[in-house]
Amino acid sequence: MTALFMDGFDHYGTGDAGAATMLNGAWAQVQTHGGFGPAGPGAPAWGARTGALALAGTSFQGSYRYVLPAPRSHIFLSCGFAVAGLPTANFMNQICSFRDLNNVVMANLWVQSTGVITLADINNNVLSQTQGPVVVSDNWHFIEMEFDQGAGAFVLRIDDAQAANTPAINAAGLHFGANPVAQLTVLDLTVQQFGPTGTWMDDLFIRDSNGTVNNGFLGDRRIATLLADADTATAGWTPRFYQKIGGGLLNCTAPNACVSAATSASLNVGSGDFTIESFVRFQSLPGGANKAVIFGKWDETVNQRSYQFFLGSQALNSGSLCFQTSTDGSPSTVAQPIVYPFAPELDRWYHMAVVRTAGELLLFVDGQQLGLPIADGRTYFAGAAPMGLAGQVETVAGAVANTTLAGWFDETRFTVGFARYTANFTPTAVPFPRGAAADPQWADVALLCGYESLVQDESGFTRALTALHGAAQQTVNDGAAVGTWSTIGKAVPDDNTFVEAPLLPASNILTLAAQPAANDTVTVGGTAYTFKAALAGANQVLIDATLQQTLQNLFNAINAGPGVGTKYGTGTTANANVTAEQLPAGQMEVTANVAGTAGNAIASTTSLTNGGGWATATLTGGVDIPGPSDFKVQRPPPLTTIISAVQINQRAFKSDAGLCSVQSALVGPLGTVATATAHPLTVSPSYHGDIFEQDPDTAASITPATLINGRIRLSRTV
Amino acid sequence: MASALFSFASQFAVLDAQATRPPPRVTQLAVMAACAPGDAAESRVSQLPVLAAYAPPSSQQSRVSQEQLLVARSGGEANVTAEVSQAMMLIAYGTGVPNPSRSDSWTFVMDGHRFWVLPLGPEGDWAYDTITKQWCQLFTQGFDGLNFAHGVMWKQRIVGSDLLYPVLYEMAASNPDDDDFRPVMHVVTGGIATRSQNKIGVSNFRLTATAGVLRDASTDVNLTFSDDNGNTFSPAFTIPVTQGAFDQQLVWNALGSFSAPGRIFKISDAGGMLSIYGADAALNNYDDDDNEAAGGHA
Repeated sequence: MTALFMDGFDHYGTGDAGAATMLNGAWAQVQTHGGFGPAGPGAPAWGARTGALALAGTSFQGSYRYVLPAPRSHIFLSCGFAVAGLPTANFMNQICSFRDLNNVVMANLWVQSTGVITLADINNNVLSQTQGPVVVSDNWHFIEMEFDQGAGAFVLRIDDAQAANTPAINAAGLHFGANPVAQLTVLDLTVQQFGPTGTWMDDLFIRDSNGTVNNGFLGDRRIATLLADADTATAGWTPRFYQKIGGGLLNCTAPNACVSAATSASLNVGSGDFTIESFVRFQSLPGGANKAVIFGKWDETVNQRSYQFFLGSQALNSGSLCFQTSTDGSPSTVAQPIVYPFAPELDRWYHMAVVRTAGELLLFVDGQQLGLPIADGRTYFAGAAPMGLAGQVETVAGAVANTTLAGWFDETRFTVGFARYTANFTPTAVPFPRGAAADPQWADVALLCGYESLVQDESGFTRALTALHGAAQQTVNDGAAVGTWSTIGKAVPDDNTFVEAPLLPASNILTLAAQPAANDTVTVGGTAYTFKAALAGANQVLIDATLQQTLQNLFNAINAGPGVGTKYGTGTTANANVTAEQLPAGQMEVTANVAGTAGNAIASTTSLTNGGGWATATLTGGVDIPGPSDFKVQRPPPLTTIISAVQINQRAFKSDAGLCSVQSALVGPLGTVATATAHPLTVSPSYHGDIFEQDPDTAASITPATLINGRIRLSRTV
Repeated sequence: MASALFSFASQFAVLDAQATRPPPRVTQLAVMAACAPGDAAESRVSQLPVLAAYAPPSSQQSRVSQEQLLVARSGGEANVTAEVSQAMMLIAYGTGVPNPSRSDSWTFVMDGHRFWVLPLGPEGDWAYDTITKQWCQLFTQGFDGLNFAHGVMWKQRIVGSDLLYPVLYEMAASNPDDDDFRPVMHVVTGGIATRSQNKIGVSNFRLTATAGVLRDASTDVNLTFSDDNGNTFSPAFTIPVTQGAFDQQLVWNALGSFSAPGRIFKISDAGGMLSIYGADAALNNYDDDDNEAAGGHA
């Protein structure tokens, strides 16, 4: 491997935000100058090669620092370089600096006030320089250099597209210290400059002298970014599109963003049936003791509480979906009939619904009922609170801080007087019906929003909606009709949409309809647990005073938790195959200890006299790591004739703690796969770049045909 | 082991019962001897363990203060999803061909026209149409000339090689791309020469071409013109064309006026029209007796 790194600065975004994104990859130090001026990837006024790395403004210092994968004594570096104005004095504008592992300067390359380029030591003693000016302001210059620490040599070529002319600097016998190059800084303005200035770099290509290709001067090489732009039949990864129903969403990712409507009697549910439902996608979960309100009519300041559906934080209610109500608006009558633990994956759509039917509350997520029906015949307060969608909105305070849901909504519907779901169902894949002809309950629809082009109520009430604090309609540009590639083929990073490769354990839910009888059994993971009035041996579970306590005893028996000898039998060991988790109201969940589909074979049975049982005969939902996904990429620039190297970049992260690595590969036109090193992921997004210098099929040079007919592959290895 | 001659017993292990109540009950006694096969003169045992199964010493009570089963499990950590939000390919690419050189001329026939190709290296590739007796320049984007070297007519097919890689190409006039990724650039010029100092107005310039046959969903057709014999050209006037729309009108209106030496019209596109059937300029104050048309249609 000779090529070490390339960067075209086209995929980070622009400005300070783009510079900050560079830190997610090979760059160890970047400049985000805040109030000082623009920095990061940008473009000079006279035109960019493409997106360029910039230090542009009128007054600041700084540099960008790149760390080599490993120290090298002999490197080649080429780039495009431009200045908006020559520096007002020497040793002010540095093109690059060669540093060792300790970040000690080995040599600096300066553009001087006359346009001369100078190689100098750390004390600005000139080591060598060009014969005359070679840099002109407001022009791109191609710079290619060889830095040989071991031989004490330095060669510089300027605007030599074919590396065929006499070098501008050809110096030998230099002393660069005893250590090899480990780091480079580029675009270093070491002294504050006043007046029109700015310096740009593009098409950075760093190589060493190893290998048989790219180990010498190459001439002008540009760096083009070819984004993923088409799917292939190899498609193991799952896309997480923004697009859900139609082409529009409600975007509530701005701080405190939410939607309100004036209070109305039509929003009161009294003691009757109702259905609150929406597709919801969380960008982040509520922190602190906050809540993320999905929908409600709830004003605490003036005691106008009616009903509210929200997700609480861990500190608030252990991260549970909660539905709370009040019968008179005051806190004294507040009840929370639904509190169900729920940890949604971020950036994934969920259909969420709360239904009251015949005096029972039901909670559904993705059409699956969570928990058991909760008796609720209360008459909710017919208060004067405004309606709040994605946040708690009050008459006086407006949107209440720390109550808003950071995320997106689609197809929000509130039906008053009718329970649309009374059993498990498949959420709609098409817009909810509009109009009485399509929806028999149309008269009951108190709110209906599709967000296709506006944030508006499409129900018969056509109530006025107010988008607060940046809540806005968003038109999506991805989706199945576009292609999976649309989640990753982005020039500007957006970690809210991606492709994913899960590894999920199987699970199952046990429901006890009533206290079990003595000698009833629950079997899971190869162990039969027997309910007993008095304990006499291993794997026996005490029938306690209440159903929930008995379930807790079973939970502790499975996990070998507290209560051995008193709540479950002595000699009981932790179940080797499953782990139990408590759920409210007569339910318990077990999760396979082994990840993947292997857990789907774990049997779960019961013998319960008084009713209840496992949801399914075996655990379900275990998912293995999927196969790879291949993507075609954009065509190379039309002027491309020679391709020296390819770097596959992926920006990746994992959803949670645990082992997880992703590997890139270059697939040749004939299908030969050249794999790169697997990269362990962190929960924070990071860039990983892997270099390829050969066509996988031919082991010869990469050609345009390699790219046009080849593809990039994403694989999860662990 | 066939060559072993001696083996000595160097270790005898007797595992004795550590407790005697109840007495040890031996259920199996194994004596294992290492021996040399065949006709060894001596057999020397280096280890002779005596393994005895016995009952453990009896205890009056058994007290367990802690019992643990350590289970290797993934638990919550198994619920991990890898997520990739950006994937791309960066390429370090160059343009041009180092040290292009002249090569042998060759000919091909297309649409009944025989073209004589002169590959002139850095000066580009030029072709002479023996029917129309006009020259044209052939080039591939990124190259000085045509990335189609050493061409030959193979029956009715035109075959050539890549300049850099061991790839053979067939010339396909209907393909809007070169090398499957470079939009073919089309540039055509036509002119109206005049010796008159009177201003000749150009009401419009109309192009008749295969406007609907495009490489991409849409592209631009550009018109520029020069009133100084091609030294300078006007800014480009652009008409967007759409793939599949075969009845599109390519008309540029109100193009000002010109006098001697005349006007050169230049039409260009990338990956656009495959054929131009003709061009017509609607002129005002134009007198055929004082002027001559050169190329195109006046």
